[in-house]
Amino acid sequence: MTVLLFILTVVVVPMLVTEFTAWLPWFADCMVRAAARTLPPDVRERYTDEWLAELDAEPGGDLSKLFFAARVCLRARATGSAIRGGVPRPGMAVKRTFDLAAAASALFLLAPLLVFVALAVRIEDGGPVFSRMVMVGKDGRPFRMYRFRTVPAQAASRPWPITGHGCPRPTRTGAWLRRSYLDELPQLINVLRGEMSLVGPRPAIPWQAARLTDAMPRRLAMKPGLTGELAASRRQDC
Amino acid sequence: MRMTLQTLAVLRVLLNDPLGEHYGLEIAKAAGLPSGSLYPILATLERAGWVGSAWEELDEHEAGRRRRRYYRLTPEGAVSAEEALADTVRRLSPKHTPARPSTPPLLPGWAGTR
Repeated sequence: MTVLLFILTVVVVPMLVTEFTAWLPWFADCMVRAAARTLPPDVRERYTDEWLAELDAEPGGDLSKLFFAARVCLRARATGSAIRGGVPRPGMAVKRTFDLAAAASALFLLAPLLVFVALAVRIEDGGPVFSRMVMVGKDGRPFRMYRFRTVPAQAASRPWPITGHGCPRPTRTGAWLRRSYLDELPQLINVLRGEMSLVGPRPAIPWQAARLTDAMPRRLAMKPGLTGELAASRRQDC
Repeated sequence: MRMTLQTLAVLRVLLNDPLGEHYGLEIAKAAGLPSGSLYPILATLERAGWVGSAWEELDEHEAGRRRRRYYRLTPEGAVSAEEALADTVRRLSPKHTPARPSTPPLLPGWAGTR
């Protein structure tokens, strides 16, 4: 046993360390290339070459090359929006950080409740747990919004009118979920994925969005939110 | 364009040697910026036409390194940069900060006694 440990520390660990240090430049390379891939297609090649050259020029050792690559990655989004001519909005970074922290902790803390609700939805009629409606997000980009399924499984698989005649009746669990607004909680996943925010205008339904673009262009200027001013002040209507 | 202190630092570096060619790392070091935050600034300046960039003329095989991307102020950019820097200096100089109003008297009739 002692001999084994000895061999492990004396032979294997230095080997691993050497291996790791040998991989550092390669790893920095990958990071820089990945950062460039997030940029608009027409400048991708230029920035790949530019950043690789900077990596070469970085006077420090492999570790500082890695740090350089990490910093480039961190600011890749800002670089992209600068290239597209977007106005830098530092406030948005704060909002995103808050969204990430709050959504992650909420998902973690509510996990027992979410599991319970998921089981309830599943057990009642054996259908899928989530309904994933296509909604329209920031800048008119569609995304799938997660929600606990509140209508019978066969009704959930086809598009249905939201209200009025022909609107499927919710299941018993579903009705309870809607009353308590628990069916909206899976949207925290959309927040983590960056498609939604905690606060913002409610996501637009596609046919609504088609009309919105002319009349209310700013409705789609922000990420849709889990809750917003209108949703909070006029709960019944939303 | 939004003038941040970081943007001004980059402009200052480029103005110090307006005809020279500077690559990213060099500018970052001279401006005292972390290299990551430099590229969004350069991209903004380039888009606004203040700064131009071109590839280094270099035979990569002979030199044994990659060619760099060099940045330089455009003629209009140099003028605008001078203005932006001068403007900031003017705004930050103590002469032009509005004088604080003198402390008002405690009570209306006490103006002379204090």
